[in-house]
Amino acid sequence: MTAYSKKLLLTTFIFTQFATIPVGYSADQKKQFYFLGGGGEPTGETTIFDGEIKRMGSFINNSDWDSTVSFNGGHSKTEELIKSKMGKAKNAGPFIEKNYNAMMDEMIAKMQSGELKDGDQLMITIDTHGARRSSGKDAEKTHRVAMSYSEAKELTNLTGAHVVDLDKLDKIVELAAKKNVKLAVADLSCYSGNLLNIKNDKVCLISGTGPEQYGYASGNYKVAFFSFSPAVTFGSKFIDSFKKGKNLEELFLSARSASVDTPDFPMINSPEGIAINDMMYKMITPYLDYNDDTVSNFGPQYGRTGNGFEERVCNIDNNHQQLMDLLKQYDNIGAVVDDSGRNSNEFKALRAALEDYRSYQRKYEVFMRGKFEVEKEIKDMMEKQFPNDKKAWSSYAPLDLLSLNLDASIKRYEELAEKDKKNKYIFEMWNSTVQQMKKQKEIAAYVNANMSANAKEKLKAAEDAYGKSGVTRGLASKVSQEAKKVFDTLYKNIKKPASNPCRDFVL
Amino acid sequence: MIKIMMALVLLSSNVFAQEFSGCGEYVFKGVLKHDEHSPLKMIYVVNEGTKSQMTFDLIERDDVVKLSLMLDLPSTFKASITKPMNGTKGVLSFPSEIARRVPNPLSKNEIGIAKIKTFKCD
Repeated sequence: MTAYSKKLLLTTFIFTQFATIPVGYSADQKKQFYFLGGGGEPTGETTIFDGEIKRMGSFINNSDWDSTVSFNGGHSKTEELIKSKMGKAKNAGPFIEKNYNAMMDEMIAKMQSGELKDGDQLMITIDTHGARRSSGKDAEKTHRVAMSYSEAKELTNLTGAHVVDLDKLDKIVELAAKKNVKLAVADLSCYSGNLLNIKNDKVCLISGTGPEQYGYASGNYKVAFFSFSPAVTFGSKFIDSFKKGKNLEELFLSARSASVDTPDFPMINSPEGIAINDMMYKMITPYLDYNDDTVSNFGPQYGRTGNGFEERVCNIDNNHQQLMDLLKQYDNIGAVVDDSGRNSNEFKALRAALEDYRSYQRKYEVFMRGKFEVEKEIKDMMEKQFPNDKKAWSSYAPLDLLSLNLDASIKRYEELAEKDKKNKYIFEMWNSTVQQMKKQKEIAAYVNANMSANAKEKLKAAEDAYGKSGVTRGLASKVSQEAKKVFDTLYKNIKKPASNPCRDFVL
Repeated sequence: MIKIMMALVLLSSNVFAQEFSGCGEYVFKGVLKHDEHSPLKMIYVVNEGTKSQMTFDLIERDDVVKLSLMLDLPSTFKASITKPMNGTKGVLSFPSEIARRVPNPLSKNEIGIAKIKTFKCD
């Protein structure tokens, strides 16, 4: 059995790091840097990206990189920050589609004309709101990101924001690989793992999170007259550590390990990174779901109605057990060992975090089960009391009938009926709708008045459980954090001596 | 090294995608919207705001009445697609098992359509 000691790896690591730091740059080697983003924010003076502007500004102003910035637009204090902190960079204007396309075309032209040539470096960093990738055959290859002067009303599809897809990067990647221009792209937006759908082993691609997760900005906190934005997220730590002589692989690994309290999954397209992503990402993803003030993706996996609830729970249990068994096998085969030949503790800690998450789920499932029992009780009541009005209740989740604002709906359809009264066909349809809703209101009133005290308690308990389910954010973050440690250990264990475009990309 | 690489291969997997794949019964997850330009002034929109957006007309008044409770609310139900879709536009009928849906922004399966039964198109 071969063991890979951390000591040996450390030596290899140090060797490879020194081996990749260049002894000098050719005088005419170009180093060009583009910083884009800051779109989709609500109106106001500041944005959540302000912390990253300060950090990036420090790199831009203190390095010899030829930098271009197209960031934000419409937020006065953010724009002041860009001017004051990034004075050395060429300002290509607000982050709007016209400017975005112009910069992409500019990079393409530079490589086509030979202005950027073999050995030159080009780095693109994107930090804005990102959307989940569309599905189906017409979906973009990467994903869409929000532009300035428009607000994303929600952070999944970025409804309300003007967006562009990042697919133009595909051409830039292809061209850079062909012309041997050293290219690095870092997408720090939500769902940015989709950047790695561009497959090319001659360029460096880094994402701030997985294809199905949010990314996290450091935000901006105010205490008295002071505002600060601590570097705790992957994006902020990554940018914070931009220093001359550092390579992107080491920056990625250190920022990834050091980021805390964020249920994310930063990715890198080095062979080692891709292998671990393929192994871990899908198995960890279900444990990164959580509820908080803005996100509620923890509960929906159980469904809205009781149909199939036990099967879902059974599937969750089976998948969990398989995952635990697999992680145990890693321990047993001694896949990763420390200096003294003992199994690495990272897998154990990850297992513990996953067990904690599953344990919370099990408690939550008790309340859900109670809720669905009430649902059955309500259905039985409707069957008994309203056997001739099945049309009004049989197609619906019983609890929906109790919770919807039927008065508001009735009013709305009455207005539609009034508006369409000259169109008899449509008018009758709205009228039937109103009649059905009035019946539904009657049924809901009856059920509410006659539900057992036990049923009411169960509903209240389920509601309370949902209200307290914000703790899942911490549980998901813990899973993410332990998964990061496993990622780090695995990465160092399988790290190849041969370089890769991220290791070769030295700032 | 071999062990780790084996472990890595063990868990490699593909991402699941949802889209129209012939007539049949589907689970729909989207939003019912009032639309003056559709036959019965109601459409069902799936994957709204994305490149995968699909819109479905309702052509039976009973179906509109049935779904009306879900107007502008994220919802899910089973329904049939009996005619081939024209690009991203289609028609749905016979909705059943209608329920509100708590938006789950991070789950790929949370919006879209998923086929549960296949039958021949009309």
